[in-house]
Amino acid sequence: MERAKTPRLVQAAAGLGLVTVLGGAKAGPDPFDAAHWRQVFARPDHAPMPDGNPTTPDKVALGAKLFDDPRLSGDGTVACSTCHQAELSFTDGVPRHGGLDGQPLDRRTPPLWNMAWGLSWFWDGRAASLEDQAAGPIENKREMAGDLAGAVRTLAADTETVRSFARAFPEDPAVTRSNLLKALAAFERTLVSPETRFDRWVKGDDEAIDSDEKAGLRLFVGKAGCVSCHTGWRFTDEAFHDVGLPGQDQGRGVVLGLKAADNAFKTPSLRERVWTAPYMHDGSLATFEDVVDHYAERVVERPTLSADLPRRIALSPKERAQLVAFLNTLSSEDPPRPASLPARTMVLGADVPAIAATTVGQKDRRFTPGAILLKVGQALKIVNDDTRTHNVRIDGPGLSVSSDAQNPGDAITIGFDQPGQFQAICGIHPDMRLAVTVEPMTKAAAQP
Amino acid sequence: MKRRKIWANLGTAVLMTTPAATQAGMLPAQPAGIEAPAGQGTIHLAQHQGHGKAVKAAPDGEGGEGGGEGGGGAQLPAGLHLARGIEMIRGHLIVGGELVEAGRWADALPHFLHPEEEIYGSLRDDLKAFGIGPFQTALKSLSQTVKAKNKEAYARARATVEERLAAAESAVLAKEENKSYFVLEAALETLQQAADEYEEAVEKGRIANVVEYQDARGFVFEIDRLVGTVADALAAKNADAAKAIRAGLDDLKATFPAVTPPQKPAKDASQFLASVAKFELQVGNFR
Repeated sequence: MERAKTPRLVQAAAGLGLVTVLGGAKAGPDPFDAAHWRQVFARPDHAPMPDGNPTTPDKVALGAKLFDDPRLSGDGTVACSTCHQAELSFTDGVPRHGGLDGQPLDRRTPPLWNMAWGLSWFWDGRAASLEDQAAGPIENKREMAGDLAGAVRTLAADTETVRSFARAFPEDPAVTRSNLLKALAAFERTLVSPETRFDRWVKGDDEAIDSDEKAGLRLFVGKAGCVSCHTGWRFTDEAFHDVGLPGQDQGRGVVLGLKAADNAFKTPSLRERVWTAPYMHDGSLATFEDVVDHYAERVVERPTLSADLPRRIALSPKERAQLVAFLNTLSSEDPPRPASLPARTMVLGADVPAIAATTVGQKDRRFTPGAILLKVGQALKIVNDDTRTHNVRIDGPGLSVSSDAQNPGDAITIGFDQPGQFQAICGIHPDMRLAVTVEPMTKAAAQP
Repeated sequence: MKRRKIWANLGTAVLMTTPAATQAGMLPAQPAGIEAPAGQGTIHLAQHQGHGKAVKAAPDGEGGEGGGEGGGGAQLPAGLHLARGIEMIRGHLIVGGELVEAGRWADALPHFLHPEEEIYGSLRDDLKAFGIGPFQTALKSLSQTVKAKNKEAYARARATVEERLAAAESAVLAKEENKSYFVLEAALETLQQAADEYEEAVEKGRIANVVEYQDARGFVFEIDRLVGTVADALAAKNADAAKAIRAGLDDLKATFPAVTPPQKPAKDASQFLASVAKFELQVGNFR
């Protein structure tokens, strides 16, 4: 385990494979610039872990056991692995898993590859950490119907489990809800998708993918515009988009209380997707071909459609097949097993050099500047000079702000009457982060 | 000692012998176990039983390019070779599906692994030549659902594979003028492979190799289905020969009363071969 120096925003983002997001996920230079895209899609050399829950072998081992432990469920028959089956790339192969009430759950069981790099979890991003996420299905009445307090009591009565917790948490050797969730999250952070043929191409092996697959890559980053959302080494921008699937599920809009984010769901990673059909948040598309056909000709037109969604893409059958061929290169040839990557503490957005400014832009899904200094009493103006709708949010300390739908051209003004450190994010594009430091007014400055 | 049959010409079979040790040395290597989630040890997923056949590893590490199921028929025209491969894959799925329905997931697994491991590799060039999209990963995904013993996921993955196979079959047939005769040719090639499998299965008056018995059963039942799709065309062309074809298939099916082999085989290998030869003789009537 290695603890890195607190990274600057851009460095952290590079580690998270988000360089292109911060730089603007455009359809890239034309003609095709292989060196550029190799940089965009390069794999990281370490897995991130939060400061408060370092990844240790004993903790991971405990998390793996708990992941398989049906005692976490209400009736003692359902484990996390009931839906997230290792043989099926930690998902379940069906559109929507059957709930305890006999009805299909609302959304597709997501595969668990590369969760460590997430910025939010669940299809609608309602969990702010992997530890928070772990509690969700356990306590959901239709999924595991568990009672974590009761599960903790049960586990605490099991001598071997108590020993496992003690090994995993030597600084706090107790069976607690917090430790249980930390162990599950630590295990999930080890589920890193392995290198594929595409990664060999990224490393410079031109022969690693064939001519059709290369043509598919060119379409992916060019005409088809897939890279607008599926970017970085995991092929996700971690943002929420309405991609025009039919259905009543309002997704991110409910979480944010924001109509503009209705029908929006988190961009899924494209890693190892060969093994995780069916696709989309509702599992409604059975094959890659169906997915490509959807984007080419079946998008439901509505006001909430993502600005990043390419419209009216004319793709020939051959081009569709090439896109599918490229997508296949992002998966292992054989059922994948987790890759081993060293863990490193990462704090996204920390220690960005702050500058005195009262106006911030949002072009290309990036707050610019990324960190500012204000004085108490000053107002911050955030201008949407982007082509997308944003939703600026600040949650504490002592301040709660939501801009509502901030359409292109809109500006919002936020006043700060207390000193402190604040972080603004976009609720729709959570990779957008703005550090705001509000300093007390000095006496000299306060004098008229 | 194991025997292998070489089809010398129409209706003639020559039984060859090869040292068992040599064959054992040519068996496909056991696939590596997949690493379980951390802390769970190793799960050995692919429980390949092997066919006791010479299977040469292809350069990409995939079996089936040599003497495995997919390796046979290499001299056939591309369309016929592809059709034969499709039918063999379907045969595997039929018998695998029966075992899944019986809850015998572990027994079913070889029948879902073999199409990808032993057959698909030999079809790759044919698929490209006919402009048919690859479906190797669909086959792999299907076998994963069997490993996971997940019936709902299995049903979906199976449906996807069936769609791919149907599309492939349509693409091949679309290029044939005499479709019913082509179907019979493909049927004959598949039945000859079934004869190989059955021969491997029977030893000293009993079914010694259950997987081979099941392979043969799957192939025969698939061919019964396939020939049924052109039954009307065959009857219109030569009613008597069509009846003989039908009777021949019924006779072959009777070799396999259930997916679990009988105590005493209904036919010995030479009787089975003779039934295939009768079928072959009738095929000539539809040229």
